[in-house]
Amino acid sequence: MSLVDKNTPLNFTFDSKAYQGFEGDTLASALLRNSIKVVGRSFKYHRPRGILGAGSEEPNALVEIHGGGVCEPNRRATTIKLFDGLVAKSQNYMGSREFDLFAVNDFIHPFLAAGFYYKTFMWPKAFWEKLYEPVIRRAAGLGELAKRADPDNYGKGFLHCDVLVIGGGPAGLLTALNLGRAGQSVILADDDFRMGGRLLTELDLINDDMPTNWVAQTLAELESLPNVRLMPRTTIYGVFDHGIYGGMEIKTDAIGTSSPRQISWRIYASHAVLAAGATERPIAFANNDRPGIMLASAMRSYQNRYGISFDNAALFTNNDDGLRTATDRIFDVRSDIYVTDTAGRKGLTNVTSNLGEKIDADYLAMSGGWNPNVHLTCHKRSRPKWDDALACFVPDSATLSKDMSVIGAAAGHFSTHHAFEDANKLSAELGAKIDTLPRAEDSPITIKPFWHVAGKKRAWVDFQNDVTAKDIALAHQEGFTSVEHVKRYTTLGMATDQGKTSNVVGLAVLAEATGQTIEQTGTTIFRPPYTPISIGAIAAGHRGQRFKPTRLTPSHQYALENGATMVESGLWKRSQWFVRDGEKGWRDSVDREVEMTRNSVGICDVTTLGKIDVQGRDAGKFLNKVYINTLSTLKVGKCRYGLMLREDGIAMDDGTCARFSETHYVMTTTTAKAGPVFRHLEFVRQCLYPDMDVHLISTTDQWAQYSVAGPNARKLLRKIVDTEFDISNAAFPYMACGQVTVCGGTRARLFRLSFSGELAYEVAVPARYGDSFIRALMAAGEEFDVTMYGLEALGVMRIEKGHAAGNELNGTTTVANLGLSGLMSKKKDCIGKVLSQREGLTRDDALKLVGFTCKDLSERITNGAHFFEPNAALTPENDLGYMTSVAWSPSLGQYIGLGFLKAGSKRIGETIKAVDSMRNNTVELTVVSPHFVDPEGERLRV
Amino acid sequence: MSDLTAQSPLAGITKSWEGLTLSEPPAFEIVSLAIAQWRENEVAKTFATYYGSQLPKPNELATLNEGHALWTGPEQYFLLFKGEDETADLSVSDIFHGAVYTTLQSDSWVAIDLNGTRIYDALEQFISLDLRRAKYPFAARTSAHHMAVIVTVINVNEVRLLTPRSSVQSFLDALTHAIDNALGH
Repeated sequence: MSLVDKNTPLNFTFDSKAYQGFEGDTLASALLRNSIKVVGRSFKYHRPRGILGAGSEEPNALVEIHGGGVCEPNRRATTIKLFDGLVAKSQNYMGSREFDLFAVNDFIHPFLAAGFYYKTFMWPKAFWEKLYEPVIRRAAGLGELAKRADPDNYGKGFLHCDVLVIGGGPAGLLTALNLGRAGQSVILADDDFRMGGRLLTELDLINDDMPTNWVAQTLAELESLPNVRLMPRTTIYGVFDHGIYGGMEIKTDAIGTSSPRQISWRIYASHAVLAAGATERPIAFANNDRPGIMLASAMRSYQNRYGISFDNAALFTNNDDGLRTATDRIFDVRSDIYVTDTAGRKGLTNVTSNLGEKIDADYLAMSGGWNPNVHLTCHKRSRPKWDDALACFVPDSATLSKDMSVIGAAAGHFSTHHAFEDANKLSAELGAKIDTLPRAEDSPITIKPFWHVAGKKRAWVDFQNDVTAKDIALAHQEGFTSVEHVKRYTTLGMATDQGKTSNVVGLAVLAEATGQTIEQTGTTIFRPPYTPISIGAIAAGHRGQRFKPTRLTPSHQYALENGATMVESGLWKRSQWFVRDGEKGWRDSVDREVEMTRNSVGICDVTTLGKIDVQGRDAGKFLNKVYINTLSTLKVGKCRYGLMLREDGIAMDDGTCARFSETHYVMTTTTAKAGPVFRHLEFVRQCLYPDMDVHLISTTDQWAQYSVAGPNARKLLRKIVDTEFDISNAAFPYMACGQVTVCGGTRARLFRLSFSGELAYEVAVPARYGDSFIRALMAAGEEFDVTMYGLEALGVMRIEKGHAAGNELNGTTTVANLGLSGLMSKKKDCIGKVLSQREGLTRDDALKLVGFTCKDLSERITNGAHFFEPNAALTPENDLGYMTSVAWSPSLGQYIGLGFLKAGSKRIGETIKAVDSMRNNTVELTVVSPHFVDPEGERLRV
Repeated sequence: MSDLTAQSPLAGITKSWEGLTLSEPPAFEIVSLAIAQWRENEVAKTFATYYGSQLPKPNELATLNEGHALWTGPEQYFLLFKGEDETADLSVSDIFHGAVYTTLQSDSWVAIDLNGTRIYDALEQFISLDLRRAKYPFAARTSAHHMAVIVTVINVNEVRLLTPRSSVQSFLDALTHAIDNALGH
């Protein structure tokens, strides 16, 4: 029997040498087919290693796959589906796979026992990082990471089903078939690329026919059912809350293909059936790690599924299942015959028995019994229990999650008949009508627990981490009695195989050392992922530009056409400044934008500011609760500045609120806080004041909004706003708002607001007109030499004006710090009011927002500097506050800053020093009013 | 007549894969309707009379005389009307005589239509909802790739996705990437 297609040869290379395998091979089977015994070197001792298993349990055959200019290390050769052109390399050696200089470690193994690095390399201290650690890491590593970015495409997705069947062996296949026939939505996932599980390996007949025929018939029927989804090469790697399962589907092992290499599935299932089978375990005896020694079931798999013959093979078993393996010689511990040692460095040559005979053997199959694959039952805190009769851990139904059932070998029911019985019984419980039970073998379990052949030589328990029985005994001798501690001290059960073959043997050896039973010793905790999964697949497409969404304003294209340099502001891309011909640096552009705006008119895209429509009979009352000042008294057609606090009294966000009708306000927030403020408002509305008649909706994306600022702002807007609307200072004064039409009838919102300190308006049109509108505005402004201005110029002008922004509303500041105590209404309560009046926040010497200029105008002040008295020592006790915002002011011809200074408002005119330790800059400053330009506010009211 | 030109956010994009076509539909209007407290019954009656349909329940897509309606939150609905009318919110408000609060939302959202037999093969790699078993006409608010999306299943082979205008380029990129992955380039 063989399931490979010998009519379809596949060429591949291993360590740069060309080989041929066939369609249906794994890399492991193809290597064995080509008589390659040594496939890599062991982790610590660099001993030659061969293939031990035939599936995801493989601890030895870790290889690199190369392609697309990068390599992927630590891939198990047993799970790589061979493809034409595969380039694979062995790993973990210095020199070559056959001649590894680090193999010297094997000869100095007495110095490298468990925890050796905790006891050595202690002196001299400085050598650890510079010498010892790099050398150890170089000698003991599992492959090397590619130095380039992963070139592959990964996907993610979401699936839903009534029942997720995990494992496509006899139990899983029959369950899926029963439930599929009953019309249930079923997903059947298996980590192998071919479904069938052990039926692909064993020769016991089903319904008097070859088991592979039953598999083929069953799969054909499953494929015909539209409500069944078959997912080969999909590992269910984790079980999470609310019926969610993580599935990793491998589409191809090739690197650098355009189609997705792997897909990370989040599977929502009402019920899961764990039919993941069992993993055979090895026996620990001297030199049991030589190439050519493998698990008995793996040998049968290579023989029966892949058609590879093993000449001159022997078997070492403690159970009947091992006897299924066709070998030339049998060592059965139940007959008191067992293997005590082996020979052959790069390939087994002979084995020695306890009777003293030395027998030539090229291969040795070993079977120490079976471990049900209970891992996924543990992800939601269920713990397996020890079964003495089966000599293995089985799922504990008492602690098992109710939405998961375990059947077949995963439940410790090892015969095919029992697996089918389980499948039918469970299917009936899940509502399916059952027709027949396929006839299959029902061999009883006969096993004699036998874990370890005692002796002086090293007997490997964990092949992947080079942990021997002696290491475990040593750990116990040194006081590590808990299984969890032993695991961490010896590294037993870590790395890519997560102890699938080693855990129980390790526990048994520990139990032997402690004199306890295995049940008393307990087991370590299994956590996701069940098998290694790539970080790239978890990230899926979320990297590079796709790491997070980008938000663009309607005038983005116009800005790019006009020399905008973009900056990320949250998710938004905003214009930072606009470069014109002849400008040599950003300061040239920013200074010009400020000067042109202050002298004539400038336009800034302020679409990104959060806009929230607040509507309802209680809208004003509601806003009174969220703002420190009163909004309910705001007249229709007017705007008001507002500041809101967090519940702890710290300033949260500020903005303006416009009232369009008795029941309609429009709130603006800062760009960065638009989302958090909306969330806060919804919480207040739904949880704190559910009885209020108030509704919220974000209109940030609805309106393209532009600030038109400068002495000529009104003249420009008179050309834009339709003539029936009077925007004169008398009819539309500072802080007015209204709904108007522009450009011949387009609906618009107009606000008389100023962040720059100039005569200014903000005008908003539906976003569909945003691009057209900015072009119309700029065209209308040509006669006034209008300029676009970006975020930098906006920042400069708000600092000149003394407006607080994100740097000042930094999550630590209060109303008092900001100098806005007068804004707090005494007639009403608001969120955060009580806690804002805590003694520590309102003391006289609290930080106050003030302005700063340099004593020496040739000096430059920097953001983040801390304030001290001119002659004070630079100690935390002497710290007087910190600088929050700094700008070169084109209007004043000097650097200016805003910052928080202890009792700052009482220190106007005094001298302090600003120390910026990061930039090694100390400057003497004069404390001034934060309002540098037009402190009386005359310009914005004209 | 306005001098301004309305811009389609995706410039009327159309893209096809085997079994799936993606396109930006012609402009239409979206009005958010929120019901004033204590006036729920009155609004429900007026809505049924005027639009020929009950107010939709969560996950329902109601078919109106002139479009569709879907539930977006407690006492809040989106009404989707064919054709362009940037004052649609005011017109809806007039119908209910102060019993509702309306907001124009047409420019907040961009629609992407998916048509064909392989919609769900693609969307299962994009949206976490179980759309294969959704009872259509169906509507739901969810997210995809950290972006808001309203999914409306108009019939089995016709799905409309609504997503915020400002991030629509990222949304389209993520969606086409998912479709490419599912259906091939």
